[in-house]
Amino acid sequence: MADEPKNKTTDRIDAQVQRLAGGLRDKGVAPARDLWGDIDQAITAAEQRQFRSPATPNWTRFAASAAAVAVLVVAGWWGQPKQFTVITPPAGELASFAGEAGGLDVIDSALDELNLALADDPDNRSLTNLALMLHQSRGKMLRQNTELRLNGV
Amino acid sequence: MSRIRNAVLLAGLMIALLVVPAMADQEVDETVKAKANGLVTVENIAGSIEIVGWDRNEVQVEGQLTGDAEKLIIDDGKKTRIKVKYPRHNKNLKGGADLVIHVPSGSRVDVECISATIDVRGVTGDIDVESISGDVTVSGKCKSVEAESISGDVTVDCDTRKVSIESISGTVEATGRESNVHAETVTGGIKLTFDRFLNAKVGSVSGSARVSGDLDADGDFSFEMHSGTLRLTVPSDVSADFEIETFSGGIDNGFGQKSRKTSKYAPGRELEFTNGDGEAQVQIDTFSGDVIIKKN
Repeated sequence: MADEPKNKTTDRIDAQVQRLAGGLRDKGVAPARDLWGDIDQAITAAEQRQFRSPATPNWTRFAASAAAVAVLVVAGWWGQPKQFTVITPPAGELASFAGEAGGLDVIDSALDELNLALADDPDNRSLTNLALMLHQSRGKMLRQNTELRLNGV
Repeated sequence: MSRIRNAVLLAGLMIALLVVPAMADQEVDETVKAKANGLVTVENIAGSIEIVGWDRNEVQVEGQLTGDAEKLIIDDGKKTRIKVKYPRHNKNLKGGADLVIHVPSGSRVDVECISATIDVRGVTGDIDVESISGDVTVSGKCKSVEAESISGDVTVDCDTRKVSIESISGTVEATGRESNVHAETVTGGIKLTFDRFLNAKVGSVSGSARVSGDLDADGDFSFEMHSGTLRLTVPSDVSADFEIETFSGGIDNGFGQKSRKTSKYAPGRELEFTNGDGEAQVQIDTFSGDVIIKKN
């Protein structure tokens, strides 16, 4: 029931189009050129694309894709950090690195606290001593890390 | 059918060939000549290293290699170098070397391990030991001790003039008579008990420290703690000048003098006081750690 007014409008528009088209035909008005050739060509090309045989793959595109994948793989491998690890020690070693990482985190957050305090009181000798101690500890820890890595641990 | 059976048998044989050598334990017992006060170095990854001083001018290595520990290498040139060889590029090492090494008691000893524990005793020379995750223990009377671990505990019980102990997350503990002491941790605790500290430098980030002993009149004593608590126990008649400052921690002074605020607007406290003739110089700085001074 609700569609009734909509259908009526459509019918009215269709009737107007037919009437106008009929009027043009009756007056001998024709398109400037024959459009059918272009339309036919477009339809044929679309059908060919749609129904191309899978037995005849586009080798150029396939080769290009393979080359792209190969480039990505090589680039990924090349970009990886080089592993100089000679020996990865057993069991407890993981714990040591965890501890070490935790240590750096602790030092860094302590330094953040100190820096805030020093910003307010830059001449505080006590804070400066503590900051020096933390920086020394941090430096030592980083040096240890480097030595371990250089030694293949 | 017989081809399948043969293939299975062959596969089994190959697995056995691969596994059996890896699992074989190896007893070691080697002795080489050494100087009475020469340098002995030891390198090992896993297991345990026990070094014992004796009265012979020889180095003797006894023990067992297990799992992936391949062989023992001993060079006895200018120094005695003991090394346990492991396969390269092995990400999952199993086993290790459990060695008891006798060295001339006057030797200098330098030990480096990864996860192996280290125990040195009866060596009178300089001792330098380091393990990454293994515990380190040094005892006896020696010239100096430098003991370090990253996540292991370090324990030194020595009669020596110089002790340096460090750990990142492990606990460090030292006891002795009279010594210059350096102790440092990041998160681990510190415990130092000496009859008399000649000089001391103690530092920790979040670990707490418990320090007990007399302070030498000529000594300098510095304690730097970020958030850990310092408990310092000294004799009631200690001759020392104390200078204590904390940014936001508290100060509890067993000698009685009260701390005061560093500023009207900041939470910090400071305390300066002299006990006796004020000879030893004590400097204590903390960020948020408390300072507790006790007398006994």
